[in-house]
Amino acid sequence: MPFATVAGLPVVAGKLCLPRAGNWHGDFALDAASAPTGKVQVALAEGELVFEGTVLRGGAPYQTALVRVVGGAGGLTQDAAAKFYQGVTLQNVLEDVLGDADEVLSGTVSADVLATQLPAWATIQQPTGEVLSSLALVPGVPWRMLPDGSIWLGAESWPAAAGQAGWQLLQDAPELGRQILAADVPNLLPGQTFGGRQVSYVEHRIEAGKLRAHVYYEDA
Amino acid sequence: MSALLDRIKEPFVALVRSVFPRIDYLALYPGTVVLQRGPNAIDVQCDDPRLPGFASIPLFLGEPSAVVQVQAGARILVGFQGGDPRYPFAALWGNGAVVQSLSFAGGGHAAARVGDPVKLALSDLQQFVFTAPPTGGPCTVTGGIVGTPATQVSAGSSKVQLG
Repeated sequence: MPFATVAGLPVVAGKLCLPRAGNWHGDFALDAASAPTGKVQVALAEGELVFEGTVLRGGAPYQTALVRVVGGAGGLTQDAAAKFYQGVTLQNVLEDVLGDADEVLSGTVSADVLATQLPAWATIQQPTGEVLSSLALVPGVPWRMLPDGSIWLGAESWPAAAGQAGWQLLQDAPELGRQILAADVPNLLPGQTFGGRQVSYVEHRIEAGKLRAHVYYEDA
Repeated sequence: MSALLDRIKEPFVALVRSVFPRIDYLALYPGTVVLQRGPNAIDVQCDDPRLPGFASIPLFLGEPSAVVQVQAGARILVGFQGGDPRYPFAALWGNGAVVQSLSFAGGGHAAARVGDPVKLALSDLQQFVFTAPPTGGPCTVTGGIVGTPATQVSAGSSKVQLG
């Protein structure tokens, strides 16, 4: 089984970018004569790690499929409908806006955040991702797309990443606040703590059958 | 995104807007009053179709204690306090707004204007002496108003009231 696949198609080369705030995306070259479309799974470590996403654009101009995949259903780039609410909670607006975009709110969002009262709320017709960012400013928390394709927002708890002993440090660039790491199962995610440092951004680069995680830290 | 942007600029604009997601809430949007629901609370439909219809948003008149009742159709601007979508407001009238009533400081008394009638109490006339000539003809009047006459504005504006 190939180390990394998109929609079951082997990844020849590519990168998967995981920010702490916002949606993740990946650009991949696939060993396939035609590009997949619609909802896809990005699988790493022979299926140990799965990211649920949607092909935003792609094609196969050289008998190699080239695709950009974004997290979730791809609805965050669609314009939200202009709506005015009064006397609602953050959950009411979030579910309405995300429902219109065919996106899903994670079940792990804290009840306190969801219960935030909004005396009024005006959604301007703009990309749903921007509406989400604007809503997250009310409780003052970040949002991001989780690997399962659902949207989470809340205060960071910085849990320690699992399996840290399995990572190998290949390069340390303290001036950039970045490390390049390798692991059999690259399960490091932004919002976690690795080696006592808060992980801000992870970019998995896949090339020649190898995966290298470029990890940027908050304290840089 | 906007048709004004090309493919290369779009990602840059998207990046900026992701950092400042509320940038559109910092503008003032022209609209039309649809309905007035209460003292200084109105429904407004903005001209820009990217904005929703607003219901019962506060009307900021700019003068303390002022309360206005306007006819539907008046033009006004809609904004957001501090660029916060939770706090829309309407302010700054366009030309042609028809005022049905306007009051200051609680209202209750019609405001007097130049030309409004003034009532003078009869008791103030008691020092006047009217003398009719024995052969007939116009009376002569002597004397005058004593002290400070008790006068009162008897009518004023039908729209403007003062407290």
